[in-house]
Amino acid sequence: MDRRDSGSLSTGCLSGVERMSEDLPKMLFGIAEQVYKIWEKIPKIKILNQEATINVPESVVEYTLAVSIPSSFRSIRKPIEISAPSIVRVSAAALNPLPRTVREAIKKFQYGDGRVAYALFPELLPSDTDKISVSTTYQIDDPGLLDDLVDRTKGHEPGGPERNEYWMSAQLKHPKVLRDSFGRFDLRDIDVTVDVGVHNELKNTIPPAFISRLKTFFGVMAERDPRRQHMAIPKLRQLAKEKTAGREFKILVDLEALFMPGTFSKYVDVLRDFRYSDCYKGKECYELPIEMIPKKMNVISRADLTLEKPAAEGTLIYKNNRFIEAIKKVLSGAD
Amino acid sequence: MSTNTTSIVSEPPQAKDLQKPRYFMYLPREGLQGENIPSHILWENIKIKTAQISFRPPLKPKEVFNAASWEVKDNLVIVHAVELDGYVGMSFESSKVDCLDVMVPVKYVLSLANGEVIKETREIRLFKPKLEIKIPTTKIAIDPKTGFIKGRVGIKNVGRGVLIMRISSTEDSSLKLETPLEHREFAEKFVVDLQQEMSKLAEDFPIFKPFWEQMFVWETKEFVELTAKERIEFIKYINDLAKVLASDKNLLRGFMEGYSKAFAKNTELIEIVRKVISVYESLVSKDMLLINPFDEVTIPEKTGEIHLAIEQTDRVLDTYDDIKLPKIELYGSQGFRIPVYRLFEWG
Repeated sequence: MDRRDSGSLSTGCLSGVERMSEDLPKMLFGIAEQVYKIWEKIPKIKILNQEATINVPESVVEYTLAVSIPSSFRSIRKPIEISAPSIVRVSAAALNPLPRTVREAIKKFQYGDGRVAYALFPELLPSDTDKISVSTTYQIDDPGLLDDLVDRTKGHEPGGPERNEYWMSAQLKHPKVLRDSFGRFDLRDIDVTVDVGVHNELKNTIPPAFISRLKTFFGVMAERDPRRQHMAIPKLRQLAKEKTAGREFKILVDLEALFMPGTFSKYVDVLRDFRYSDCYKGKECYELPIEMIPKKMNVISRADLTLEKPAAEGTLIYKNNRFIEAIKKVLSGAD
Repeated sequence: MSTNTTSIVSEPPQAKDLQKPRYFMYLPREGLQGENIPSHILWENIKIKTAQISFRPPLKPKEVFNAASWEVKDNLVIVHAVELDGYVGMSFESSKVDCLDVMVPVKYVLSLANGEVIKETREIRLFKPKLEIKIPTTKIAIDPKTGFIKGRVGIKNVGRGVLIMRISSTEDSSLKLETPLEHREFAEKFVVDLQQEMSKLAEDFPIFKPFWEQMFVWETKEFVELTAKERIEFIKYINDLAKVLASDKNLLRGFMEGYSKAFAKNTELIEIVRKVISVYESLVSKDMLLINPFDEVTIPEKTGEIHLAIEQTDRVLDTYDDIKLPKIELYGSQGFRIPVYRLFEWG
């Protein structure tokens, strides 16, 4: 019987908890700790709660501290300075008798050396409140941080009856560590990117004759030898008799339009805890004479995790049959 | 595209409904043999004494999240206490089995403080790709003038998931498969240029230096040939490299620029890569990727014998047994060169 206390099963690896205690506070809570210490030193105030929200796409943390203040707090004449290069915004709110923001109490200023700082002026806080919150929004410059907090996985191969479903999962690795520091901790818009292969739909739908015509046109256009150009005329005449002749470029443009995010998203459904966010063309292109059509689409889905909902799961369904119909419609030259 | 929905109900929910015990177990329905599989249990309004998760090979627990105290016994994980109430997360490792397709049940048993027991079972179908080779004849006839080939070796993926493979000639083969000289020259020059770019980056970013030194050790190895130990080391190397690159945006930018510059200095390579991709394209729809389609065999006279072996892996770089083909005689009316992918009929 192998009994453990917590963490990873892999031997020889730094357990997640150790990594959390060593590196993460510096990256994630560094500014939060700094702000906390500033308030901790102010006499007679009481820290009521700490909350943090990480906005994953923007790599931004919003750290909020709720404090109760004595009436003497407003008589402090020296402003409370909150400064660090990564801070992008500081705001304050009165929590009672009715919650409201107090923009006037926070000033942004610049030192002579160019350093930007924020200051809270206690004297400018409303006189009828004894509870305030101060929110500090700062940038985290560590794209790897998310992987230390969250176990993100996705299916490598499509599944489901039509092999067009991709599972996605996101689970908090160390919720307790976060709970110990914060009354509320939210991770918003955690991304999972799935490579949706569209190559088969293209291969099975685009007639080889269409590709051959494109190759002929592009070959003639690239040809500089007038004799060879002349020799291509009979073949072009022959091609001109085909149904969609002369509309190849429109068809290509219309085909490419199917891969614009706004259009391709119609062929994708994201279910349960995840939601569709965006998509973009994969790097490799389908073998046409010009590189316009991708062989994969990268679809980004997002989910939120909180201490109350520490795990999320979802399915991405690529509606390949409907996408095939759309390709066929374009290829038929229909307007 | 949001999945937010509004429930249509005949009457608003009562407070007692919100207090009802709720639980949820998650396990994906399908997966590739060899990939990591997530699972979790969420509960509300229940006091859990222990949570047990039992499973069967080829699943094996890799990580348990949010467990304060837990143990593993054979095919069972018992969580005695959680750190934060309402959640246990898990990650399973899966490995390959003989069957192409296997259903693995995972049983979740929640023992409640009031003595009740909640039992749920989820199943996951684990699949894998598999090559099937058909050799109609041990003689392949090639017409050097028309390029017509008779008696090609049939090759088909009869499983699920993409198989990545490399075909090579064995040591005892009298004819050898070789990378065409022009491809080799371009590739070697690209590696030299890349080395120069990465060397500059290693000077500017000392944290990158050990990765740069290892990069060219890995560069000399074919990933389909890696041993199990090397494969684990390689995956760790890639993960660590990704973390280091992600830790500094300037380093990441420099790394990407290094690759772009090396490519820009070798534009001929792009054409070769494009050619290779077009063969990939035609094979990937059959769930097969041949990484060296243009390696070729040269038959100096009218006939010669070749002994081929196929090394394989999949999208999670798992190991598969090599397939050794019987010796095959290639013959034509004169000496000729032929790329290896043309010796096969891709199923």
